[in-house]
Amino acid sequence: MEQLSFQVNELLQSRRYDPDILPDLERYVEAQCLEGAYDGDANLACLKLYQFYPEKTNVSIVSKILLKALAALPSSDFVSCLYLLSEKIQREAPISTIISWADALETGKFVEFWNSLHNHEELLKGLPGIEDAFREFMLAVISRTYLRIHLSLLKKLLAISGQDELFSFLSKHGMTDISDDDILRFPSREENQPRPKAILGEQLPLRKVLESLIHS
Amino acid sequence: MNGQEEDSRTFSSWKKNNTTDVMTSPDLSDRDPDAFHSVPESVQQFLSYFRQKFREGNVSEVHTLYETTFNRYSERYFKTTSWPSPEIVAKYVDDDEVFLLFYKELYYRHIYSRLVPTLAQRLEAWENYCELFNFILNDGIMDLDLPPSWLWDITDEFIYQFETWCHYRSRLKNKTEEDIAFLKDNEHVWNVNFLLQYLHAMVNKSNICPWLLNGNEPVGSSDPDDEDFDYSTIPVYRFLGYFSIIGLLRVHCLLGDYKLALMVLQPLDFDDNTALFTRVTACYISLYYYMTFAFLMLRRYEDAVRVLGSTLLHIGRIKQHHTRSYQYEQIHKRTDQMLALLAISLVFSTQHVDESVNSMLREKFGDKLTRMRQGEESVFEELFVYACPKFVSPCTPDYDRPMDRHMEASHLQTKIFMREVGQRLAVPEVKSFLSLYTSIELRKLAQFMETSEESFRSFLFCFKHKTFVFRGSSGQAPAEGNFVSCAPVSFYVDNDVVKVTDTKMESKFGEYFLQHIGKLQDFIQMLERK
Repeated sequence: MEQLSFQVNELLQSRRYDPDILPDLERYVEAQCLEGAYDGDANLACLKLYQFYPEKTNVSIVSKILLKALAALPSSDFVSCLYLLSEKIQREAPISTIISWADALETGKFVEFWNSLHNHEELLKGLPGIEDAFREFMLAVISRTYLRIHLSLLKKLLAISGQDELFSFLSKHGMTDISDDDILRFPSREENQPRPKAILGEQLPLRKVLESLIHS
Repeated sequence: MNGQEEDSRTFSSWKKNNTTDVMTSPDLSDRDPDAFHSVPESVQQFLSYFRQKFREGNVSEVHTLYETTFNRYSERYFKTTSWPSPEIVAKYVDDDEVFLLFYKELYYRHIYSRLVPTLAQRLEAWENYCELFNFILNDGIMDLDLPPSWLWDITDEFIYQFETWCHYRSRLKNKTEEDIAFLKDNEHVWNVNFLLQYLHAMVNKSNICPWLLNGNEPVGSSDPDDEDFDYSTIPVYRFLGYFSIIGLLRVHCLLGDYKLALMVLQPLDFDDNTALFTRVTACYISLYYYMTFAFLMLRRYEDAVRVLGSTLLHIGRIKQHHTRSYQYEQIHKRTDQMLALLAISLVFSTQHVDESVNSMLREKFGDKLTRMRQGEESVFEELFVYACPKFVSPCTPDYDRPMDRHMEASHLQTKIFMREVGQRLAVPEVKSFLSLYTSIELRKLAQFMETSEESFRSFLFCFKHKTFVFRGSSGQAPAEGNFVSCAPVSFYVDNDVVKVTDTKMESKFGEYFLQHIGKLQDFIQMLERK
C-alpha cells in the first residue's frame, strides 16, 4: 500500500492530466477501499481525469470514491467530488443513491440513512469497515449534541443491535461512563457544556468620542 | 527538474503535429485587403516607436505605451475594427519577429474585447499563444524586460480566451456543418490539457516556487552560463511563473476543482506587503476573488468572510488610483461580485466585518442580505449566479447532437451549491427557535415545531454538523486549517432536555456613531460657511 501510494503521488507530480495513469489511480482506489486507507487528493485527481475524458469513466470506481469521501465527513471531500461529476452521472444509479445517503447523513437523518443503506448493501462490497467509519462520524456529531444519552436511542442512531457490540464500539472511542439505568455520559467537550454568557460587546470610551469631536 | 524536461518534450512533439494540422486545415484567411492602405500615419509611428522601446527594455516607457497609448489609439482608430494585421505591421517594425509575437497577442486580444472573434481568429489566437509560450519556454525572452501588468494580462487573457472557447464550442445550435467538422478535426485547439501544461511549464521554468520558499530570493546563480543558473533571477520569467500560479488557481476554479485550486497557492506568502501579486491590481483582485470563491464552495464561510472583509477594505483604498484606467470597469464589477460573495458567506458565518465594508454591503445588498437571513433560497441563487465565475466544461461536446450546452457547467455548480444552502438553512432556523428557551424538553420543542421527535433530533444533529467548520487563519496556507465549532447559539441535550446558552454578540455601534458625528460636524461647518 505504501509503495502504491508513493508511486501514485509520483505520477501525480509529473503526469496529473495524462489519462494513461488512470489504471494506476483506479487500482489505488480499490486498495484504499480494501485496506481502510484514504487519499482524498489522489481520488479527486482520478475524478478530474474522468471529467476531461468522460468516455473513460468507470462508474464502480466513482461509486467507491464517493463512499470513501462520505466516510471522511465532516471534511468537504464529498462535495468536492460532486463538483467534478456531470449531472448525467449524478442522476444514474448507484450514484444517485449514494448522493441521497449524503443528504441523509449531512442533515442528521441517521435512521433514514441506515434504512437506505441496508436496502443497497451490494454497494458496500469491497469496502470492509466502511459502516464503522460512518458510525464514527455520527458518534462525533452525537457527542457534540448530547451530554447524556440513553443507550436504546444510541443503538437506533448507530444501527447497532447488540449491547456488547455497542459497548466495544464505544469503549474504542473512550466512552465508558455508563450509568446503571443505561445512560451514557459523553466526555465533556466545549460543545456539550454550558457556556458562560459571554457578551462580546465593545467599549466606547468618552475619550475616543471627544477625540473625534475635537478633530473634526 | 524531471517534470520540466518532460514538459518541454511534450511541447516540441506537439508543436510538430500542430504545424501539420495547420497546413491541412482549410484556408482561414479572412482579412480585409483594403486594410493595407488604411493604417494612419500616427499609428505607424506609434508602432515603430513602441517596438523601439520594447527592444531597448525601457520598462517604464513600455508600460505607458502599453497601458495608455495603445488603448488611446484603440479608442480613436480601432473602436469597431481590428488593429492592422501583423503582416502589415511587420514593415513598420523592421519585421521584428519577437515584437510581432507580442503584437499579435495584443491584436487578437483587441478583437476579443471589441469584436466577435471568428472561428479562424480563435484558432489563430491559440496558435499565437503556443508560439509565444514555446518561444518564452525556449529562453526567447532572456534579454527582454517587460512591465508586470503586461505579463499578467497575457496570462490572464490566455485563460479568458480558453474560457470563451469552451463556451463557444458547446453552443452548437447555430453552427454550420463546416464549423462543426472543423471543430471535430481540431481537438487540440484550446485543449484544457495543453492549457494546463503551458501554465505548469511556465511555473517550472521560472523556478518561482523555490524562489518563494527561499524568502523571495533565487536559489541558484544569476549567470546564464553557470550550471545552477536560476530563471527566477530574470524578472520576466519570475513574474510569468508567479502569474501562472494564479492562472492555475483560476483554471481549477473554472473546472470546479476547488481543493486543487487552493493547493496551488501553497508557496505564496500572503503576509508579505511586497508580494508579487500586489504589483498588478488586476492580479491582486483575481487572486482574492478566486481564492475566496473556492472557500465558499468548500463551505469555508468563516474564511471567506475573514479574507473578503480585508480584501474589500484594501480595494476600497486602491480603487481611486484606477478611475481612469481601462481596468476600472473590471475592478468595479469584481468588487461587486466579491460583495455578493461576502453577503452569502455572512449568512452562514458568526463573524462581523469592518464598518466601512458593512456600509458598502448595506448599500448594495442590504435588502438581499435580510431576505437571505430569512431563508429565501431564491436570493442565494440569484446572488450566486451573479457572483460566480464562468464555469467551463473541459471535455469535447457531443458534436452529433447540436444543442446549446454552454450553461451546463454553471448549472451543475449552482445546483450543488444550492443543495448545500438548503441543508444549511437549518442552522439559522434552529437558532431562532432555540434562542427562546434556556431549558426545555426535546419532545415539547418538537411539538412546537409541529414535527416528530425523531426529525427534530435530526435537525439538531444537522445544526451541530454544519456549525463544525474547517477554518484557517491568516498565517496559514489557504488549503490549511482545523475543524472548530462556530455556532451562533450554543446548546446541548442532557438526556431528554435541551439546554441553551445564548451567547449574544452585541452589534458594534461605536464606529457607526463616530462616523456620523464626523458627518454631522461637516454638515454644520458647511451650513456655517453659507
